[in-house]
Amino acid sequence: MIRGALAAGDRVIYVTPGPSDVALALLEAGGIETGRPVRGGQLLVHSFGEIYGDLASTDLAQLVATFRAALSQSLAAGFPGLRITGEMGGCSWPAGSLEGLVRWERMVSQMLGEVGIAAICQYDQRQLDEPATTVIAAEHSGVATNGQRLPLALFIASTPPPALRVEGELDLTNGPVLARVIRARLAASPRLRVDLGGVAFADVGSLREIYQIAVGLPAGSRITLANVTEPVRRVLDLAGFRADAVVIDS
Amino acid sequence: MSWPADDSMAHRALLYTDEPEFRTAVGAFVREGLERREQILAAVPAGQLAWLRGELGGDVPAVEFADAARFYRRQGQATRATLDWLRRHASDGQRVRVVAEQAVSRRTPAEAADYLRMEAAANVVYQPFPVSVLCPYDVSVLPGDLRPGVEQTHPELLRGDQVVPSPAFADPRIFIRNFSAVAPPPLTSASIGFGRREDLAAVRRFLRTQLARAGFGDEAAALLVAAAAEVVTNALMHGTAPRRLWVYTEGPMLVCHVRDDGPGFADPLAAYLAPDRHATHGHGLWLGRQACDCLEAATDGTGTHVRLLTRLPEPGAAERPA
Repeated sequence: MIRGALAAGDRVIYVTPGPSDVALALLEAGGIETGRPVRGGQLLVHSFGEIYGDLASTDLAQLVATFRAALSQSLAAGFPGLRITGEMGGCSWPAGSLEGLVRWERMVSQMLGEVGIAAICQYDQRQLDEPATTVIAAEHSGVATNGQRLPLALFIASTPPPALRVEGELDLTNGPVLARVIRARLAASPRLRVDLGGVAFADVGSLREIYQIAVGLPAGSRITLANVTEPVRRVLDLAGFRADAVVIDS
Repeated sequence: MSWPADDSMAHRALLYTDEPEFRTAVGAFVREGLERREQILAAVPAGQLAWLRGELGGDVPAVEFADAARFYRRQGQATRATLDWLRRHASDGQRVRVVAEQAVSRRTPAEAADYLRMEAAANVVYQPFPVSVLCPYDVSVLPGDLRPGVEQTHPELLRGDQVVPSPAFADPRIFIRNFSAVAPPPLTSASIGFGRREDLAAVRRFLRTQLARAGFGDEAAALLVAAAAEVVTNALMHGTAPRRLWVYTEGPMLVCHVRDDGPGFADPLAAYLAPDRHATHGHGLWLGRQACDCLEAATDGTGTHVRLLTRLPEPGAAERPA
């Protein structure tokens, strides 16, 4: 889920009960590159207490305000969406009992959904018995499992100045994601540098997304395509795209 | 004989049999243009270039000479090069002239047919420009089955110094539709089916493997993958299942052949028109036409077939400049 969220260009707040460097090491061990996302402000690691406070005295209104602020900061920083994920404590569930946890989660998920944040909670299956797993899974509408397909491309935010690096291949499956990420980052930075150095293939449709966005940009705004690889350069040239607000930096 | 002086487009074929006939007719056309201070583009084979230079007494500043072997190496790029030239010289209403001849007899049947479809499309594509186009055809070597096509794609014919309307001239869209036949893929050729967006990555891997096997270098292969991927994407978005891509050779050409069950392009000119600045579609086919040597699209009872044909790399040749 984290890989998918980062690949989609969203900001991820990772909530951990332990120290953040341990959480990052665990993510790295799970095959997720954390260096650039952390430097670019795309991956934030917070302790459980920082986000949720003391569960026993959770003030729902306070929590809503916290998440709303996190979401608007994230949009202002040029991320199209915010996802919150984290490890739940395992043996010592924060809400004291399975029933309490489920009740609390239901409340939090509903609240997050209303605010417009996608959330996912991670449980270590080894610490849960089967009925508990079933109960928890039923509470989470889209349960992400390991073994998910690797994304075709990654959209990596970097800052400052706000930029976007794309790595991989772009086609019908992820062209709309590219457009979503570019629009979000343009909101934070009217002059956006899109580094295509890691793109070995891009179809006409995904490049057209960039040009269509550029055609609608206000004066002073522009998109700079940097490190364009030879195959992508040829497609740009032969497909006949024209937009004054796109600069190809060679 | 005289050519228009207003802002209309003129498109005439000259069916000639020898050098004197070519020199007289093309020489008169170019000289009339020079007298009217019109810019002239002459894209003709090397032999005809020499005849024209001889007729004019050497190079003339207002005449841009282009060797057809290079200019028409890719049919789609010739359209684009001509459009670029027209935008440079004719966009503010200034009348210009083009002499366009391709050594059709030295082309494969597929390329010759593509050239005639392009001649039909020219009546629409160059319509916005005040241009006089003269297309000489050497009938002493023109394959007999192509001659009717020449008469169907030019509204007027030049006979000596007489201009006559071509009685066989056909609506360009109808000509293109009728002049496009489905060529079924060989039964034994390599192929891959596709039906979902998620299949596109596998289609590209299949193409890369097949192109490497056929001897294409990385750069040429990347361009062909891009072109074929656009046709596949079109079939996915606008066509219907079942859909399949074949790769095979046909004489000196490599063919990427995409089939779907849909009704095909609503406009037979779709593959010939440059997308305009704000177009939300059309770039894919435009790329497809320019990235390969010729493109065929045809629909019959077996579905809609689009074929991209590209000359195979010379054996032993390294990266082929495209």
